[in-house]
Amino acid sequence: MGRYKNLAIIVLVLMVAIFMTGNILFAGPPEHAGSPDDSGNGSGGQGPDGDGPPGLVDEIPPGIVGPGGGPGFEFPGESELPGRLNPFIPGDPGEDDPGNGKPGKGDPGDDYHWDYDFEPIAFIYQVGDDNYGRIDQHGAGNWAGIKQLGDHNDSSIDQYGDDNFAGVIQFGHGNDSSIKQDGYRNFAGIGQFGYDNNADIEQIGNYNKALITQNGNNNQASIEQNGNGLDLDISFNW
Amino acid sequence: MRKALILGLALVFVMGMTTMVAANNHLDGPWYVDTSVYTGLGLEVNAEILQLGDEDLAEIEQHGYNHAFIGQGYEFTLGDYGDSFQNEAFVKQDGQLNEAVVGQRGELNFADINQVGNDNYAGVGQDGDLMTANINQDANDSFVRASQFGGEGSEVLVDQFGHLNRVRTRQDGDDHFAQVYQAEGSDWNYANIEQSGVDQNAFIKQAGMDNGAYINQQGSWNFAKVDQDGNYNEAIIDQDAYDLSGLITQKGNGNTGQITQTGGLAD
Repeated sequence: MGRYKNLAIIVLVLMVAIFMTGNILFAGPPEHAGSPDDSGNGSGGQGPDGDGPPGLVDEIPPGIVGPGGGPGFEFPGESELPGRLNPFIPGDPGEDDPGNGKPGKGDPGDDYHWDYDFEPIAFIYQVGDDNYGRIDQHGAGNWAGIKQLGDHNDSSIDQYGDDNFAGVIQFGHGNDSSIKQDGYRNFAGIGQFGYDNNADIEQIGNYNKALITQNGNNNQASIEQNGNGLDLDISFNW
Repeated sequence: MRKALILGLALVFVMGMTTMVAANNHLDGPWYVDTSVYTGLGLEVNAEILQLGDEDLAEIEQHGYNHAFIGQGYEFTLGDYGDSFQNEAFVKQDGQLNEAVVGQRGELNFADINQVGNDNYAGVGQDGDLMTANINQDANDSFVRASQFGGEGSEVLVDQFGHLNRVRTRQDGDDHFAQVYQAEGSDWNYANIEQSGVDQNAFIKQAGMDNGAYINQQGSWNFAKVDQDGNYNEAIIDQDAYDLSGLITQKGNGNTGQITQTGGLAD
């Protein structure tokens, strides 16, 4: 009888163990289940088939094929989990700079649901200091606009292609601007109202026009055109 | 002998607690898991809900040092394949080092992760049509990754109101929508939206310090928007083909905006 009692206790222990770690038996990759508390330091750099998030799924979900037939989306690797946070993000500002610690301005979020009321083909609007704006366009029917209000602004627009239009308007100090256009039916205009402004337009192509208006101090303007149907307009007022 | 057995039993119990599986469901039906009973024990609690079926509901609520995983429709169980239709997954965490992952496969699935605490992580992976990932964090050192693949009409919504937050989203397909909002005294935010396909939208809005935003769209009829209000902001929009639009609005100091477009639709 004592034999059976010991056997019963052992069976009981095994049953409890199975109950408490049921996921090991019934779900998930067995080699990873039950090890969510790995204290990795993020130095692994695991790929999509590396270590997975807690508990499960360390691999590409079945049936998911990414673009080009490659692997599907990456599930987060364990090296990217917080506490050992070192996510790989292209263009990430990096972890060297933790910010300057000043409190943020906050936002009540009352305009969280954004308007859809305008659809620009590339527009940059900057209000502040040390701004820089750049637009590259390569194609047909493009137009671009940059508007800067502030200090030390700089802007640049390059366009190649058809039906292009570009406009830059700058209010502030130390502004600089440049527009280059290449293709067909281009038009460019720069307006500068501030100090130490500089403007530059270069056009190569057909039906081009250029306009520079400067109202401020120490302005400079330059328009260079090389094509058909050219037009030129520069006005200063200081 | 008996004492050793009892000791072993207790040991198994504690080991089980540290990797607790709160639910493991292969069947249809709603599941709700609340692991707050383990709060204060100083244990890591791992809760999982696995569902393979249609119209399932999964909810995990945790307070403490937690991990949560909800899988719906994947090959979560050995030998089981199949999509899942119209499922909902909710994770609510309040504590330290909260980690929540939701994986869904199928149509009309919905994932919602709400985290309040420190060092949170929220990850959503979805494969199918008409899927929604909604992530809300009020936390420090948070990180969000949402990936949607394979279908049409998926959307990602993220709110963040903490420090050092980051967001990375990736969408592949048509008719996607992504939205990120980071504000309320948040520092060092970063947001990333990558989209490929036709007719997609993307928005990033940031307020605070040291923000960065990145939108990359590949496809047609895309639309992107970045709105930043803070210091040391940077925004980059990179677009690929027809009838594209981009907008960067920046208010603050040290801003940089860059839009690169190629393609375009002729008149």
